[in-house]
Amino acid sequence: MISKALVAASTKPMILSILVRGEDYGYQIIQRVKDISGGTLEWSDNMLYPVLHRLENDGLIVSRWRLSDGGRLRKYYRLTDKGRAELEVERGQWLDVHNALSKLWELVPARH
Amino acid sequence: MFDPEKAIRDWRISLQKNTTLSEGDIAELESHLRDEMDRRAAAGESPESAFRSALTLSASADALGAEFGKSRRRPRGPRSALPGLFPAYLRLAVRRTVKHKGHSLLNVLALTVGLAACGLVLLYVRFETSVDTFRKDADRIYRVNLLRKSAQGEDVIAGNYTPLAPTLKERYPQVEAAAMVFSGGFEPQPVVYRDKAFKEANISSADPDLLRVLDIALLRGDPGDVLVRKDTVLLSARTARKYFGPEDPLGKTIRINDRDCEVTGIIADPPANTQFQHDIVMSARSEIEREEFLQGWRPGIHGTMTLVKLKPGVDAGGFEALIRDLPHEYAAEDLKKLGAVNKMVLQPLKTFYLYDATVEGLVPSPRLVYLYVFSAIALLILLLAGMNFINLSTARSIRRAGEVGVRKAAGATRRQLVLQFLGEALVTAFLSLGLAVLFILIALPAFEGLAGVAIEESALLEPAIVAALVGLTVLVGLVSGLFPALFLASFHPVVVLKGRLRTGPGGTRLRRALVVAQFAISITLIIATLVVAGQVGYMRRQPLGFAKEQRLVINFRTWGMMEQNYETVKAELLSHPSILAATACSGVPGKGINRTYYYPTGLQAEKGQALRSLRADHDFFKVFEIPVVAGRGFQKDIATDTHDALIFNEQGAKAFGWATAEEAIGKTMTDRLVPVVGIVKDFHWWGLQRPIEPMVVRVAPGLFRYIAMKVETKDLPATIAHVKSVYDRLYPGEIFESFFVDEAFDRQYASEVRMGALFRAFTGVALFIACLGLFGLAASTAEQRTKEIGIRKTLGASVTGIVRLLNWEFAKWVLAANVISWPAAYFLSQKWLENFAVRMPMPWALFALAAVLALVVALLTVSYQSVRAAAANPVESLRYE
Repeated sequence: MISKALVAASTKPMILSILVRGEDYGYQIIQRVKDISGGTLEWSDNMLYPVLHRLENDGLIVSRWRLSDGGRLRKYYRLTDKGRAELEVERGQWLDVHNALSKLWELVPARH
Repeated sequence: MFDPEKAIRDWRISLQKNTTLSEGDIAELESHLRDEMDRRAAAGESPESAFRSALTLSASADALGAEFGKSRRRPRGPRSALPGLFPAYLRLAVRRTVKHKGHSLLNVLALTVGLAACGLVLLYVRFETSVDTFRKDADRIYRVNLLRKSAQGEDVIAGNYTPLAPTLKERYPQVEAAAMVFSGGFEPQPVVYRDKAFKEANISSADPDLLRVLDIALLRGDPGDVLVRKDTVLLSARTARKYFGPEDPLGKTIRINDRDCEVTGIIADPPANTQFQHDIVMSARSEIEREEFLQGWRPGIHGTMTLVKLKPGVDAGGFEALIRDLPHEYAAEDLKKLGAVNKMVLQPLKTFYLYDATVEGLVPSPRLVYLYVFSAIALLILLLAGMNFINLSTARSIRRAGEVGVRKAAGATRRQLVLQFLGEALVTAFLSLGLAVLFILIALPAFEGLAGVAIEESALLEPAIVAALVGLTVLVGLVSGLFPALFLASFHPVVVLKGRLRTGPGGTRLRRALVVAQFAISITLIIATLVVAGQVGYMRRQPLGFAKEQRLVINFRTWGMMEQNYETVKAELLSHPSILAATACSGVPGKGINRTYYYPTGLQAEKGQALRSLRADHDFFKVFEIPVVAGRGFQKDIATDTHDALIFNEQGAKAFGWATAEEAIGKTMTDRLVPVVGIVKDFHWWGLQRPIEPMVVRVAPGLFRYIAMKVETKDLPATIAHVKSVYDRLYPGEIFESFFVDEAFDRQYASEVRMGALFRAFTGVALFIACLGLFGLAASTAEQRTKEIGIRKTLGASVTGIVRLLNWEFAKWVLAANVISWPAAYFLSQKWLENFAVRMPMPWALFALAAVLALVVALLTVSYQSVRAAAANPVESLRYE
């Protein structure tokens, strides 16, 4: 189980990285995180939605309501240009951390 | 049976109770819940189980709300309670202002009047300080004044030698442009084009460089042919329109003062804020060629001024040093003969309007003094309005004590309360500003007439004016709001809510001090107003030494028009029975006479004098009823009396050192041995600002240009019609112009009269504001003392007794205000009266009158409240507790 602090810290880059592939809604985001992490990351809705709203307030993502194929109303989120730029910043920072740890643990560095 | 839809609905309702969740949030969560339920159902779970497990994954409504709330409560910018709360204070302030109409009205009214007065004076100051300073390169433009020193004394004149401008241009590379400007006669001259004939005042002659020096735009015409040739003229656009209408004026001939001039250019209309109101500018060349006194390096006369524009970067002081002694280079002989020293002095363009050039240098002109006086008065009025605000707000604080207590008990901090009260003050101030602007727009035309300036309404929108007005408003709002705010916020909630609050001695003392200050200012202004009016009246009542009423004067266009026939003209005029006497002369009291140089024969060096010089015929002293004190008047039967006899006034005799009038008789003047035949009693030629000057009178028909008549008042129109018919018959084609001596003479007091009117207006405003404050104060005092009055009445006090008691309370402070205002008013009046040669005696009665006036107005103001309070039924007032 990943610590709460680390989960909280990684939510933002995680969401941005998911949305950079295209529009998505909350439930789907949680599923994707779960799939990608192989189940080690399981987000709850009460954690995800406030973060989404905050990112929207900050102008990193925008939302719109859409009727899905099954006739259900869903709120879809999409990355803005500002969000894209923010993702680059986050990416750089996380890679820095990753590279540092990798070196310390004598692993092959990831490509920057 | 489990109904998933009902379960979801119940869950939704439970979420809706949480105020931090919006409908959108809930919809999003619901959609999420349904997705999770679908997935679980697909995996084979029962609907109920799917619902419950989906729900356990998510949190309770409260937890959700807390998380959502966090995402929303993130203020942008620095953390402060102010931005969020400010609108609330504002709303509160507006509501209060509307709710307490009476109180607000008094405050707003006073502030409105105060701000409007300030706004008007601001516009006035802006206009006065903009005169000619707006010109391009104004910093580099100077007038070359002439400082003259001789045995007779020294003076500075704006006129200078006519060849100076070309000389400066030729000799000094520092000069970019230089022009001589000759503003000709002081009287309007006739200008004729075909059937259009008017008298024009703004005529001048100038060198071609004038346009370059003053940066006047040439709208039409060849820049190379501007004022170059003889008898050419430039017209302002408005003048060209007036005479030529749609015609093209270029190349046309217009007749100016009997001379045909070709229009060679159209120049931009002069704006209101320039002293160079050049509507008609003639080529100076023709003027110089015709008038001998304008040729060569002859001592300058008023009117021929030299303007110079220095090149950028040239040091004016250094340049002045270079040209300082030019007169002694070019006019050495003349100066030597006169025993005089003339020096050139530069005066910057920017100082033309507000400063006077004197021997001691530049001194503030009366205009500048008035500017200061009225700025000070406007600020005083604003100060009064601010005091009013403090006064009324603190007086009112008792009523608001309860509010303050409740707010404090509910947790309001002192800071929040102060902010609230300041907010209210600012709302009041800005409301007043809005009204003040309206007031300014309405009052502007009247004010323009009063102040004698032309202000455009659009000037109100100029950034500097807007900034100044808003700044003053904020300042007044904050300063006058701060004390009441601090005072109110300092109430202790427990004391207040228990109803034990008394306004401390501090508050009462302050309010009294404010009332005293307000009335001190008002009384000072009242005295100032009375003194100005008194002095003007005094000057008008003073015997002038000549008869001023019912003296009708014909104004001839120029000198010499009646050199040959003035006796005929007089005889024709006198044929009318209502015309009792007539005289031809070069001037009448109040109208320009210049100086001429005289000396007792053989004593030029020791006793030479420049005297006011009047040329008049034998009947002048008869028409103006000026008595001869020694010798005789001019006589028709003595041939030499024409041209070769002099009469002095008493001052004139004294100026040459003769002890008595008799001693002067028979003395001769100048090398031509002109005898002094008589001395007349001193009389005032100018308004009483000036002392009586030494004067000489001579019969010189070539210089006559007025005929003054003593007329009877009965059927004046017929008399004037007769005069006009005689004039028209004898001078066909000339424009008839006449005036009465008393009217023209009194025009010399125009500036004092104007100042008096402005003072009256401002004093009225100040007194009004002071009364508003007093009215409010009386109201709150009466309110506070309701119970006391009730008890007094039950114990047998009469209504008059109570009214007297309440009124005395205020009257004594108004009386106390005199202690401050009398010395101040005395000092100021004394200073102002120093400007006059003839002063009214120090008017102590006026001081008393001002005190009484202020007292009466104050009593009338408070009596309304006093009577109301005293007449109230004591049962009512005592029952209310």
